[in-house]
Amino acid sequence: MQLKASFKKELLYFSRSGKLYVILLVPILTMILLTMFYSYADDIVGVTGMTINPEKMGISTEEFGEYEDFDLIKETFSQGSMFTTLSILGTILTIVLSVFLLMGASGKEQKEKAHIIPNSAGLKSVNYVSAKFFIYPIFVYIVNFLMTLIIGIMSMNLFDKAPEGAVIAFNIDMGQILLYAATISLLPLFLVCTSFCIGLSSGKAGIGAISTILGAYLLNNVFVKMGLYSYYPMAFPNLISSYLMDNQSVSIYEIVITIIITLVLCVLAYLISIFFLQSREIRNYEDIPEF
Amino acid sequence: MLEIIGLEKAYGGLKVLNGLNMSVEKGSIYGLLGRNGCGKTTTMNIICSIIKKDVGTIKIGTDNKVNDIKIGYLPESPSLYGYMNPVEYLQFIAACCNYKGDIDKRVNELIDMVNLSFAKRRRIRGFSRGMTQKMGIAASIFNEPDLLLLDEPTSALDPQGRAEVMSLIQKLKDMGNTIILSTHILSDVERVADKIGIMNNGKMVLEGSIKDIINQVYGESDAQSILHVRLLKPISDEDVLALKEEGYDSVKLSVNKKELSFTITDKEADIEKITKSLALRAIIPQNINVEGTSLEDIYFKYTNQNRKA
Repeated sequence: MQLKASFKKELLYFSRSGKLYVILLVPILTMILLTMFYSYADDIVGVTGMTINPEKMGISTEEFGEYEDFDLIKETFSQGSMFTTLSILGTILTIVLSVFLLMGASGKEQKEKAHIIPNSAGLKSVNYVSAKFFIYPIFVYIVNFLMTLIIGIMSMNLFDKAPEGAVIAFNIDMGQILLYAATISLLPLFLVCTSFCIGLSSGKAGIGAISTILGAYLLNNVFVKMGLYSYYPMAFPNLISSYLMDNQSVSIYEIVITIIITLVLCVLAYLISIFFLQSREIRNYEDIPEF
Repeated sequence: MLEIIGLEKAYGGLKVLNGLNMSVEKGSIYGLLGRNGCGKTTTMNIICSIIKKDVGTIKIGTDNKVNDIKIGYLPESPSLYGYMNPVEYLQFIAACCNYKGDIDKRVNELIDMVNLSFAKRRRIRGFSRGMTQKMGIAASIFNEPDLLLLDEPTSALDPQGRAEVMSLIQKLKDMGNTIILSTHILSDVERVADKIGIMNNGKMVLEGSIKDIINQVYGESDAQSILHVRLLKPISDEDVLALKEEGYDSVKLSVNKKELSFTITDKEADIEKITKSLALRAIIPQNINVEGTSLEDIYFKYTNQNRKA
């Protein structure tokens, strides 16, 4: 009964505060517009064409080919690269929007002491936390998955023709798009779980949001400098992009293990939040019949 | 119903509760008084286990219950879920307390009781302070708690809102609820409380019924007050002498001869007698006030506050 009511409460908050619609629509619409912009950029300012097709820059392919990086430049702007670049950009947008917009659900309630009356009425921490962990991270995962899927489908159709003189390094198919969308969306899922864990455990949603974003950025840099490119959630964008480009360099096992580690970390964040809130449950009084 | 013995609480180096003792009887309203920062809210937060006590014993019980004592709590500024309407909020509270009865019936009953039927489908976010307070009371009594804690429920309310909340508290009292009412509005306490406790520096300095406290402070047989009568014109020495001959030996005259002070024991009868005597001599009082036996006087005396400050 409490769990059902907690779910209803979170859904009411999410929908009536308008945050559900912002998190659902802003990343998807922004990335649709950005994908269309890149697709038509060649017609508008010639950016894509210039880069993909060196001849448009007034340089012959032979002449440009003398440069060592020519192949790399061509690859970077191939269909698959457009898809992965835009998806990573969209994922960052989803993460920032979700983590900051969901501060109201990840600790602000404690800060405003709105939990006092429900708690003294008997609301259990496990039900309070469970509703939050089941609704928000999963919703963000679905939004990011849909957004990536849409970018993929658009990329397949809009970046399907190589401009004259350009070589498309790799094309993408529906299976690759689904795999990419399903895995890269685990990153926002993990970061939302982390910010909820910090926010709910400390009662400070702002600290939860900022430390999650900064922590993810810094940790990723540290791991990369250590030469570690997999087995942690922040590795997903590069890991899965590398797998799509060249599945020889990254094995599917690396991806599977990274997925398992990420999901385990999300469950840990959930359990830590429950543990922290339960450890704060106090009982100062003794029940004694009328004295 | 509730007994607190030697309760202590410190925040860092600051000791907020310093050996507090208090007892609340079942079915009564206990008025907890004290200046800001004396530890009233800390005491309430400890009773309902929002913050941890350092030292002390809190016993809660009724004659027929040992476990599952239900405590309702209304914080000073209740923060409710503004995106819900009263019906949704109370349904959520019903789920929180695993309410076994007819939820819809209880929700409507409480909304009617706090006079919010006209706003039952409006979002709480748009409620006035008084409406929010009434909504908070409805939520905190949803599960018919054995003990209800109300932390300054009338502070920051306009007179209309204050009157409504106080009549609601009176209604709860008539229904037999045990309530601890923390406030610094003395007239509210005088109106509804069966027993009061005055706190100062984290300790209970006085506890008992208002009558008991007045007797405790001024003595049971002849609780004395000072009646101050400010006059429009200076009084003559002959009139003062005449008043003394009438039995008002204690009468004192101010230097400017425009203020008389009488020591009285029976407030109502003595004021009537004195005003009559003055009227007989065509002495017109400009202002009359009694000092010495009101709860307000005792409050100021025991909380080390200067009334004029």
